[in-house]
Amino acid sequence: MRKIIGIVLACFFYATSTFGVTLDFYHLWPKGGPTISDDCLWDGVETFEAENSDIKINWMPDPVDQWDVKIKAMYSAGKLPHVFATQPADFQSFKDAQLVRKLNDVIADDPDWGIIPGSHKTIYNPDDGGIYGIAFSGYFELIYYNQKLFDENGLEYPKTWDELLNVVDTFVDAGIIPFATGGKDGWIVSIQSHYLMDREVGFDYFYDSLMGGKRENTWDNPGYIRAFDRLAKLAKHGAFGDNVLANGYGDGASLFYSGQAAMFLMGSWEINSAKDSENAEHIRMGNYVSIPGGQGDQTAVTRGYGKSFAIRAGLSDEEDKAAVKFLKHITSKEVSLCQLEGGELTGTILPEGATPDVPRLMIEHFDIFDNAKSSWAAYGEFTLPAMYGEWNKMGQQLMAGKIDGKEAARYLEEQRLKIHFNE
Amino acid sequence: MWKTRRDFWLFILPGLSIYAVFFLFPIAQALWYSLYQWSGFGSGKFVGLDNFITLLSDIIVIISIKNTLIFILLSFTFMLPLSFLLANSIAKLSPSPSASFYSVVIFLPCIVASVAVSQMWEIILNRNFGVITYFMLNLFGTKGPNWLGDENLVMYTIIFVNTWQWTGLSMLIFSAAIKNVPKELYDAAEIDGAGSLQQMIWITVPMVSKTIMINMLLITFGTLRAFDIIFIMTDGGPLDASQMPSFYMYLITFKYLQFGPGSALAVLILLLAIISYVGIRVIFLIIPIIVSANARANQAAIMKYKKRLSQ
Amino acid sequence: MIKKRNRGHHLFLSIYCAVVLVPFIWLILGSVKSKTEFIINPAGLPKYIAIENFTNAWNDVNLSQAMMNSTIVCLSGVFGVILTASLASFAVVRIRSRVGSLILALMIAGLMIPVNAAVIPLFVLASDLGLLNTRIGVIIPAIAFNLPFAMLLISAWMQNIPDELFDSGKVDGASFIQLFISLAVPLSIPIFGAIAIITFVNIWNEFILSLVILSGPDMRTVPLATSIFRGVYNTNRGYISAGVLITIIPVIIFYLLFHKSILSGISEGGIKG
Repeated sequence: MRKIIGIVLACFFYATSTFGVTLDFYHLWPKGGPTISDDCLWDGVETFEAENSDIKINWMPDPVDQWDVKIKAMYSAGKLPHVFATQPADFQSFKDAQLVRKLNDVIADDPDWGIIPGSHKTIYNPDDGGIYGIAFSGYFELIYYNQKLFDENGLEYPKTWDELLNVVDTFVDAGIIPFATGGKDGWIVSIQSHYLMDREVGFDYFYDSLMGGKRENTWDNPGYIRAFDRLAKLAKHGAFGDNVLANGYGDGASLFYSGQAAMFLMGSWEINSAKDSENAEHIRMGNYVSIPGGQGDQTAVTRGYGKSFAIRAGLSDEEDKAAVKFLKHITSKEVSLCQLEGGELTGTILPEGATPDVPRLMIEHFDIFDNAKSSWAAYGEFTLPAMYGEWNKMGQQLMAGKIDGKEAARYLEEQRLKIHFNE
Repeated sequence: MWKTRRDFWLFILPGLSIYAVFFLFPIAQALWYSLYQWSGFGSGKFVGLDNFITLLSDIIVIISIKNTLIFILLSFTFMLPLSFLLANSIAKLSPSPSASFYSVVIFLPCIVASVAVSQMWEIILNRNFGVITYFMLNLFGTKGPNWLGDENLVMYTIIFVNTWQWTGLSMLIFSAAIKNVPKELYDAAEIDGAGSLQQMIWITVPMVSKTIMINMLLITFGTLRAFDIIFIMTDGGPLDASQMPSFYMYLITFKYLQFGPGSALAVLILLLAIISYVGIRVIFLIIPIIVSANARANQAAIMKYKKRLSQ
Repeated sequence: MIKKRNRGHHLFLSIYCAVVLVPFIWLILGSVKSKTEFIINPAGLPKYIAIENFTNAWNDVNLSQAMMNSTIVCLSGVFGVILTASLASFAVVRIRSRVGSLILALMIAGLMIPVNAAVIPLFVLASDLGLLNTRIGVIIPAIAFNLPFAMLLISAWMQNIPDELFDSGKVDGASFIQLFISLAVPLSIPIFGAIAIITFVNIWNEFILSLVILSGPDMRTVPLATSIFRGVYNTNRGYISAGVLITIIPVIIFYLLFHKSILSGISEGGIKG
């Protein structure tokens, strides 16, 4: 009797031990989340599991607005999931702890993967030349505007700074809010402020000072101070509504789609909502204005690869192989095609001969991109979360007219020394 | 028969061990982090009291402490009298179906999650699309004050919502105390010609002084932990005007990944709680002296009343 | 009908009750409005009843599963809290000792401690014990967090049970545990009721703890589910209102059914504490 039980148990253990690998997969949003990528990824997961019966994926979706709390908790316990989504800002914190697997070898091994060169810019460690993530969600940040409101007020979409001021003043007089989103959400303020900073000074300066650690590049430079003053000026002209801090993402979107606001500086993820909104046929895309005397590329657009998938370091051979396989699958060209049709940009090229069916607004995004001489990711991705928080706050203070450009720049420089260099 | 020692420990152990392992131990660890500079994984650097010095020179911490004081004082000013009067009115009407009805309704917000309460009020108070704005536009043609977006107004709005939610609990605690005031006192006063207002001030209030203290303590501790309401309605804004210690601690720890200062702030909150506790208890040590004088006077009144009855 | 002198009281109470109820009414009205209608008409009666708000809210975040998880966690937590707190309170109150008073003070002091600070260490602890993404991993810390308040009320209540009752029991040869079961527990039912509702509500609404320990749609509790549709990208107020409404209805029903014992338990426990 005991012998039989022993054999049964042995078979049981043998069976379960050869069952295979279960990978914990941590994505930012659950199925049915705000962007299309989730459905495409979900389908990707299902096809992967069908093709690989020995690998199970444990999808760990979590609440939209608290996902970073979750990943940070996992990170601080040293227990990141096998494959996880990360934002550039968080990656800055993770990479030093060496919890993320370097991917250079698997990328080199598979030229067919189709990764867009340069898409890894923010999940990259300049110290060791390591690429640590594969971008799955990219974005543009451009201005959505309501052509009808412009026409009704005899205005053309502004191309220069002075035209912008004129447009703002005219709209304010007509009782229309020029920019839908004000200062309520810090991250939206930074989109506007980094466009201004970039127009004035150019991207390399920023990248060098924070990623390359070039100490002599500081926040406290005349170009940035001018940029900050311009932000304050826009606010003073009423560009953000009569109460500059009132409108955040949610309200801003409602104001724009209901025709109460004329322009909406937002990311390309918004295409999904925009194309179905009440005023959809009037919405057009526009680039940010040029600044007279600006040192940066006046045609540059913000084009980033915000979120990437990474693999945890230190996995067993079996798990590692499975994780790499899974990663390749969910960032494959097919999944990329699916995402693009939903209005989401990825870091992988499309399959050969694919003719995606993309919304008109997406085509307009690409048109502007094609006419731009350069593009770079949102500045916020290159800085530590604490620094980003301070910068957002300064933007809000500037908009509220509490400080001027010089004070903002000086404060940020103090914080930079404290946060980045511990001084 | 009774193995006292054994029984004692047997009974205490389940609760105490869960509490110690899952509450005290993590808290102790968190407090320990306050002495380190740590960004999560890996080892941190011991910095002693540096984190505390950083905290105290951080203007946001000062703002949050200031906000806490305003919050507590205003809550005392409004919630205590209001809940007392409500309890008093209900006591006058009970026992009756209407009194029960009122109690049930008034206590309702207390059992609704703070997150839900904040959400409900956000819909009403929203500047662009809220209910109040809607009425203001239609009646007065103006959007009205910016309840959550005006730095000078936001704390008061939050205090209002918080009062709306928790007055019921205060009221309930007062209710019980009021019920226990001996009826003879009121009768005696009635005979002496005291009106109901005077009766309330001179009899009811002193007799429930202990519950006033309890309510004050509950309000204080609740305020120090206030998180959900800030989280949903204002995110500490606008421009940090509505920052509170508990929320800021969350920001520093989870958003900025600075566990050292975050834990130091936790220590600070704990210290504030202890100071408030001691302060309130001390104030109320003085009260009993007054109360006992009052009680003696009441006692005498009852005696007089009883004597008169038997005549 | 209403006595003249009570008219003032009724007026006062009615006005206050109206202030209490009106936001709920707006919530209910709002929950059936579509996204666009909400923008035009936030306060009035809906022109078109958007039931899809409810069905979407229910399905999108798998609320039925979340409700079940929350219920399991809450009921277990309530049971755990009442059991451990009553046992501990009884021991401390009946067997007077310095150690006992110290332990009691230590447990009640927990009320002053900001709970959020413990979250990260708890996460590490839970993960070391293999409790991550399990309901138990949420239930046990939830019990720990709610013990202070329970101890406060229950020990105060038990203190007020007259000694004579126990002395006669002792004389009859009852053991400690028999006294507990046959005397202390039945007499404490009102305060248990109060603790039950307060703890239930606290655990139901517990967000950060569940966020950190649980992951995945199977284990999600209601606050986690709610925050998904409350997330930064959602601008459909009707949908959010419907979601909020769904999550508070169970608690409200529970409350309306048991309000008598709840209210009396809290008030009497309150003054004795």
